[in-house]
Amino acid sequence: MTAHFVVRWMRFMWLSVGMIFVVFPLYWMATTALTPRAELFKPPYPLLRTSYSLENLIELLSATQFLTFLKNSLIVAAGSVCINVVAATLAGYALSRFAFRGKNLFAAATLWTYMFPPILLAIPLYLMFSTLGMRNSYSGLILAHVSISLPLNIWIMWQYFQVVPRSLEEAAWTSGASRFRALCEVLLPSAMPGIISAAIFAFALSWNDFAFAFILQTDIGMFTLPVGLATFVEQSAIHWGLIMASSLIVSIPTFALVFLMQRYLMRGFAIGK
Amino acid sequence: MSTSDSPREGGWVAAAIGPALILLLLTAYIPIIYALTLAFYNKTAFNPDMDFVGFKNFVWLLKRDDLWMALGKSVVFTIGSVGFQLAFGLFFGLLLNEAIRGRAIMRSLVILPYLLPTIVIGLVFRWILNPEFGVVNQILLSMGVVERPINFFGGLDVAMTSIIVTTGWQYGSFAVLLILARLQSINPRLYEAARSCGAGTWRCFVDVTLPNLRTTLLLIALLRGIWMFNKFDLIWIITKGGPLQATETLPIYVYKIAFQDFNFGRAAAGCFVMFVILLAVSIIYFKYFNPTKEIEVNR
Amino acid sequence: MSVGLTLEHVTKTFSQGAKSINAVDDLSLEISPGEFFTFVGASGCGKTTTLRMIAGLESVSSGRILFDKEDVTRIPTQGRDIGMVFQDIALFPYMSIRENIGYSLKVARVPKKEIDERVERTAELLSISDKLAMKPVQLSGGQQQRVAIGRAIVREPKVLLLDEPLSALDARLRTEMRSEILRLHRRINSTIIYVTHDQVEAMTMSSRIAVMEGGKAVQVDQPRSVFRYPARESVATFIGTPAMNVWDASLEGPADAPRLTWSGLSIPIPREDAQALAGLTMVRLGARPQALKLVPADEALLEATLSLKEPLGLEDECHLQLSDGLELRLVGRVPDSVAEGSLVHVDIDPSDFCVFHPETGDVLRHGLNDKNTKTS
Repeated sequence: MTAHFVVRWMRFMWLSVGMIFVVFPLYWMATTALTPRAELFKPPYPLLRTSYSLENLIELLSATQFLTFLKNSLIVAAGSVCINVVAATLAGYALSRFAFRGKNLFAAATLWTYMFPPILLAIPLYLMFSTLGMRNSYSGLILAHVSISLPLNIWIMWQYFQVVPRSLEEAAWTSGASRFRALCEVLLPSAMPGIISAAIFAFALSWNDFAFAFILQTDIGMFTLPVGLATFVEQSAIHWGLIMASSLIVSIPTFALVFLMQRYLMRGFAIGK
Repeated sequence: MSTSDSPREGGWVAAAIGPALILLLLTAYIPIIYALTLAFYNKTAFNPDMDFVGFKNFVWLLKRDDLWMALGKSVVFTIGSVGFQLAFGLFFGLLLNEAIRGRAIMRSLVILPYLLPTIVIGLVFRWILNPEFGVVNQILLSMGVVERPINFFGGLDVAMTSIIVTTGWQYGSFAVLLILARLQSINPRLYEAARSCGAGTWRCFVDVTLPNLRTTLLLIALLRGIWMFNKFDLIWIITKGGPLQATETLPIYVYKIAFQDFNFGRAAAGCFVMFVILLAVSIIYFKYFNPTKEIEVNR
Repeated sequence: MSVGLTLEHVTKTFSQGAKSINAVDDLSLEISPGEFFTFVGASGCGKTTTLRMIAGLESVSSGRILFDKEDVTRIPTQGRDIGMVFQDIALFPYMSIRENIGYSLKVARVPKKEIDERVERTAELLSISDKLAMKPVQLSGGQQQRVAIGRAIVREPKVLLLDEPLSALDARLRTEMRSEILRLHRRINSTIIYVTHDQVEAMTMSSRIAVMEGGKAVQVDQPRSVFRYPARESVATFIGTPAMNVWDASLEGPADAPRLTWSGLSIPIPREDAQALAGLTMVRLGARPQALKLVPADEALLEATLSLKEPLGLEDECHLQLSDGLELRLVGRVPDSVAEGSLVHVDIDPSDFCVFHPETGDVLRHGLNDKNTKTS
């Protein structure tokens, strides 16, 4: 009884230490973002702050190109999500429902592509897009982001379609529905969690990407948020309040994702079957 | 099962696979092939023509100490970072697998860093580990652990360690996710059976948990290994390979050849080296894992 | 409404690498309109593949399938006007029961009002009228199965195909649904083609059954006939519970008065039967457990030890051990006084024997028609 109690407490203590390691940087980011300007460069800082202000956030939105970066990020992410969902859904359907020549090769090559590091693709893409005039364009960056998110999404969709029983679709056929109709009315609703996972994954990779945007977008007007934020630390007087405020905003989708959609995340990212 | 023996199905396959295939060709395969061929050409930003130079780029590259240093740094970084991530994953995976109050929220928190944009992590760690204003130095000083603030990312001796801890913080949750998923899928009957045979907590761990985790740990090591080896963004955001070349891993070095020297041919030769390493690791991956069963992986 | 079906030399070949396997091998059958026809067999015998070819879900490698006189071999599923119930039930999970049942009517662009009428009529037939607004997950297994049947019959298809529809249900429900499906067949009168691995289902429901083995229909007949006159040893042991006793017996004695001997026993073979067995030195002899009778010692054919007694309720299933180790099953009323370990005396009426060819397994004789011995 007591031994059990001690074990429980030990476990709790260890977890607490670990959780502090995980959470503290995020806590400090939020605290700094809300620190009044007057106190920003006056260490030591209190670990529990009592005076808060929105000065940094207001400055970020009014005096920087933050909103431009945000717009660029959203456009690119939206494009990547759309292309990913359509292409991955179709490919996943084909992989799960048809036997065709080169299927294994296609699947393996797709998974292999997933291992390609961005830097390996970014250099040739930079040169190709330079020739094609696609640098500093939305379409170029969208395509680049598709290259890193589509491979896994094809696998996610393949997996989801695999789990939807064939007989569901066959029941629709025997009811007279065409293959296309059965796909839309029967298969897609059942694979919805997969489609949502794929969309989230495509959004996350696009939203988080630094390497491609950094290499392909050289005009500041076309920068996405991560590259834009990096310019804030290049300036001579580094304004950490501003930087943490922008980091906080850029993290919002992640926070929302984790807390609202944990179910989908766990299924899409971690749990095989 | 289903056979595509009718022309109708052939049309469906083409229409369904087509978009993905074209996209992958355009954005991945053609660029990679282009990069691999470019390694044999002289192409710089100042020389619009491509001249075939054979192995000259490779000879130049392999003769440089920089390349070997970068490779060494990459290896150190990869081993350190993956080791840290595995430790992190096991630590939280095992603790969070138990029924504990607040487990759901703790799990969400542990997953958080992995999904945060790299830029945020880079900036936040630069801020909290800042020698002048960083809160970590402030705490260490006030506790008397150190006398002078540590220049975490600027010190020649500590920069690499600091970067490794940062990536461990960011990617540890990848390991947590996979390890937790695996732990949950272990049949509880196995533990009951072991316990009924008289095994204690430790024996249960050694005889049931560890053997079940082995493949997962290997998978994490392999996949994260290849991704950490090629990690560019976080290192660039935090140190740009510095101080001096203390954190200049292979991808950083290749980037510098391309976009600071503007010598794309030589950079492509560097890409070739990275590609060969990637190829070697992926062969191991495809040989030892059945990827159809391991689609749960994530970058 | 209902149609007859003709299968002409239907073959389905699957290729596995270099090898190709005939899952269904040159199958020819006639199914009359309104029949309840069942394909029964162990897994891998080709019964489901046959059904899927009739449904159009599987292409036909060679041969033809006709609905009445119309060749449907190349017509896709959607054009065949069939209803099908799947092994895993396969209701559309996010559609209501009403939408599930009415799906084929919606696809056929039937006016909304008529869909409602017909869905309600079907639901009533299956006594699920109060479930129409629910989602499939809210229903029990048996109710889900009714919905699946409703979805298949709502548009009054030419043929209703059922692929092991009861295998997902537990034992009690299975019996219940069995009578339910039979009742339904009497009501709607459409041709039903049923696939099952459960010989009890096949026996109790069908007007005719086809016993499948290795892609071939080894026997097609009424259930009673298949039970009474099995065409092969494998059919004899597959149909009926417990399985038919079958053992080796040798043919001995002069050609004009041969005898069958086993386990130190010997019975004469009547002349007309002897002709069918000419040239053989050994046969496989079979007798159903129900044909074995406990009798007084002086009337007995054989003597055995009762090694195990399993009460079935009214009757008992007994494991009998002969002196040489041969084990036979007996089903019948056994007095409580006869306990395990005791010696019992058993008789088998010669007309209840089946004789099979030792190599081919084909039946040689149904019953040894010895007119001189007693008849039960």
